[in-house]
Amino acid sequence: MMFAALGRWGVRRLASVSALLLGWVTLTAHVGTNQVVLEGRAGGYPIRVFIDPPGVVPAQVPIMVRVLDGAPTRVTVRAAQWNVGTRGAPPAEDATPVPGDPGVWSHSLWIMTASSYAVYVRVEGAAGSGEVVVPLQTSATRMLGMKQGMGFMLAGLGGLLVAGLLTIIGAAKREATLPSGERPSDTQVRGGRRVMLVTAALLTVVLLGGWRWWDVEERAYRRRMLRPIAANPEVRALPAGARADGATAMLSIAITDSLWRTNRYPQLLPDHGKLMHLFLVDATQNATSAPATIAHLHPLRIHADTFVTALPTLPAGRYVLFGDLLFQSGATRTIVDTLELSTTAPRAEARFTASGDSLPLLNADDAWRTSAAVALDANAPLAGGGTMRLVADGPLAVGRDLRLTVAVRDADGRESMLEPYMGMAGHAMVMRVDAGVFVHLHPMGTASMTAQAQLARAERGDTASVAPLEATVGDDGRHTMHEMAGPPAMPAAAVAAPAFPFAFPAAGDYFVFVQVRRRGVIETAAFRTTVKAARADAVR
Amino acid sequence: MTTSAIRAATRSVSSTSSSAITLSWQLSAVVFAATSVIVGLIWDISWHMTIGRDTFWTPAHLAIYTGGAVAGLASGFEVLRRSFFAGVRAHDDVTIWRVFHGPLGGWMCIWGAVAMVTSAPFDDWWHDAYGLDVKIISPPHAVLALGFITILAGAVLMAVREQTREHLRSGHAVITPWIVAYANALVLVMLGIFTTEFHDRPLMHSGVFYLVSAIAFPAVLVSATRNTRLTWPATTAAAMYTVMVLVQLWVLPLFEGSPKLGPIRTPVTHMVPMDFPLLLLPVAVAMDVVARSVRSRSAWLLALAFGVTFMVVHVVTQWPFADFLMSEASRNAFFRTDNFPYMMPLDWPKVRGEFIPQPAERTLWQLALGTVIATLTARLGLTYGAWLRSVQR
Repeated sequence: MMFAALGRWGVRRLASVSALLLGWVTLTAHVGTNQVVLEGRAGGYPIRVFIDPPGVVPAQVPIMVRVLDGAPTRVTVRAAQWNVGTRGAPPAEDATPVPGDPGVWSHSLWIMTASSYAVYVRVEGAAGSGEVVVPLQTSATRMLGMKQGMGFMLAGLGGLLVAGLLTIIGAAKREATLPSGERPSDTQVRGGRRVMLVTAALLTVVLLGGWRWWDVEERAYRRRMLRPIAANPEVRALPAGARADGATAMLSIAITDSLWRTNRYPQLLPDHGKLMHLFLVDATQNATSAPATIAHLHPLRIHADTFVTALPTLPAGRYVLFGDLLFQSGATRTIVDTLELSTTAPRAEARFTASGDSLPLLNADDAWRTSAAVALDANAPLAGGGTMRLVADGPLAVGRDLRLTVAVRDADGRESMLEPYMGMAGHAMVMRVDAGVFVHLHPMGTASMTAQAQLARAERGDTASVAPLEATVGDDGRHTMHEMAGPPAMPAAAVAAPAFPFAFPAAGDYFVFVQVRRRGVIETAAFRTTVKAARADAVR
Repeated sequence: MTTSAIRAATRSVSSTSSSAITLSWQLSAVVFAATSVIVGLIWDISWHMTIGRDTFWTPAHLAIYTGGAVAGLASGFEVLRRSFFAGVRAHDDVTIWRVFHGPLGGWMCIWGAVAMVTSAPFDDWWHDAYGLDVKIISPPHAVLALGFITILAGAVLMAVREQTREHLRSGHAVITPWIVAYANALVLVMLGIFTTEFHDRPLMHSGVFYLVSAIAFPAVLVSATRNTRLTWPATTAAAMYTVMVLVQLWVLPLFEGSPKLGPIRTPVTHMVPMDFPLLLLPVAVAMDVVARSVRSRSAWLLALAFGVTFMVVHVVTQWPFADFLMSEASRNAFFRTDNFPYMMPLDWPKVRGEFIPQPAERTLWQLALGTVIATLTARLGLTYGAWLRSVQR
């Protein structure tokens, strides 16, 4: 148990974790948002697609398409459930240009079930027609309370209906069968009252039944809401013989979720070669000037329910753990928990009983760093010398799609030559300081490229679910995904600095961690910025 | 007879004959409203089986809400007129809260319209809170349904009131009984819609099909034998029900329509209607025969005769007819048993022409229970029908 594992490298699971996390873990795909921002090329048109699901299912989901260059004549959108494909999808629907926002088209699609979808965005025009597949997952993530005014209005109308019904039924008994001109006798008046009493009793039962029905519906809805995959992270000391890369402790994440353990989840897919992307972010560094720590690790799956990794030496503190998983359906889910790392070694030691046990190792794509977070537009010094700068191409406002562009320079001020890092020009992790929002971003956007390729493959009827996939990076920094024909290709010699399309889903202070590979070394920089509450305009 | 009594009687007669004209107008409005609600309901169901998605402004929704508005406004107008602008009160209506006077059916229509209005913001909030409708039966939809059920009940009440008055005026009723029968038929159609799920074709050889029939129909059919001043009252209502369902069965597929919602499991190119009507006609004929031939002072014995007759005739007609409906011979433009909603998987029993199997003892038990329930609902129908027949206001 983790509570027993206290020490220099010890880890303690926080007693208050569930309460602390409850606010955000119910909101996931990433954490705290279901939004999708994705850039791609539809025929001759570069586009940015922004999907903002409303958090209830079924619902109308607004799809916004921003044409970044050119003037197409027609934009259509179509959603196909992952396990049915376009054969069972309704026809494509026309998006319409958004008035006052040149180049932006929008349309809302009806999504009836919580599932994974491929949204086909087709752009037609003189520059050449084409289609972009956008992975989308929908799930119920929120409950709406009733506003006081609405409550009063419904209660008032309800009261009127009850009073009206009782009166009408009483009057029916009292007067309905009387001949014209005759007034009800005392007996008939009393009879009317008796009927009203009986009706009131029946109505009470009916209303209580209705109240209970509402309650049952609400509980059923709560059960349908997306919940985090339950897991139990634990740190143990590595025995001397099992240490490598200087790591003295290991982290194991045991998935305890009953749905997982009864195989109710689709098969896991490696996302750019890794089954889990694990992020540990120091959550205690709320002061603006304090250094921020992030570790981006890739645990090995040693068992159906267990992932392990060696733990690099990190400063003591309270860490939030995010474990990104991708499923064959194209859905992504994030395991969320907290870990407290202290300066003493963990008492419990990892045991390796069988000679064939895999030792937890760090791998070449793992990276971690503690550094002071700088503002956007400022130069963040890099460990290997030089600086990284992150620039937003628009005002930071909730729900506004924008591009965060990276510029990396060597110590001599010249633009750095970057190499692909796990198949792409860079990775970015966006986290609100209270950990209520966490998104793992790629130069294509928030969606997983593997999910995109998987959906396209399923549409073709290809059942080879986990064929190796590979991303290639073009000269312009854009990515395309294709299945590998042979062994993994060697990394391209150089890529352009990445730019990440994104939309901040909620107001607050954010960390943005950016990782790139330069001269074979992964460089990490931390940025910090504030996003205003005001929604700039509906679809921007 | 004193002078004042003569004056009162004269006033009563003159007010009755003068209100006959205005009430005819109101009765027409309410019957139109009830028809509009039923047409809207059928249209809406077809819309959801064919197109799948809708907005508030679909013609089907507009028909339903038009029904509510017409019933509520016509009745509200009549109540205001009688309460404040009619001069000397004739005491030929029902008084609510000591101030408002109007016919009982009108009051029901007003209540129904208010319930429908209440359901609109409630439903809107429900969609925002829990998503668009996963199932048809939700609390706000129940309030809406309660609204139009009450409007239909109001139409029946208005019709029997006019029937009684016509009978009192001329010694026999000629036109109004047909309106009563039509209102009863609308109620049968509505009950048919509400029980669709249990009256699906693959269930026609299951006990539950007949059990649900026993809950839904005997009260209305038996009540019809009492409340309608026609020779074959239940038969007339059931015949009108059959014609209405047949009309939608034949007319809706004339219009093109295709799904706008996924996943689509059955290709659909034209509006999908509701299924072929239930064989209520032979059941209703039997109910009329029982009403005319069985003389008993015990209402319970009479109810037992109705209950047993209902179940026996329903089973011996519908059960073998179901075999025909499942056969290839019925897959034509007359019976239209090859129409399936877009979301129905092609391997479902209905598409494959198969009944859902059920153990014989369970079926027998449900049929026995159904007979008991049919007796109880028939008993209810006797009381309700007799009361309806006596409604004068």
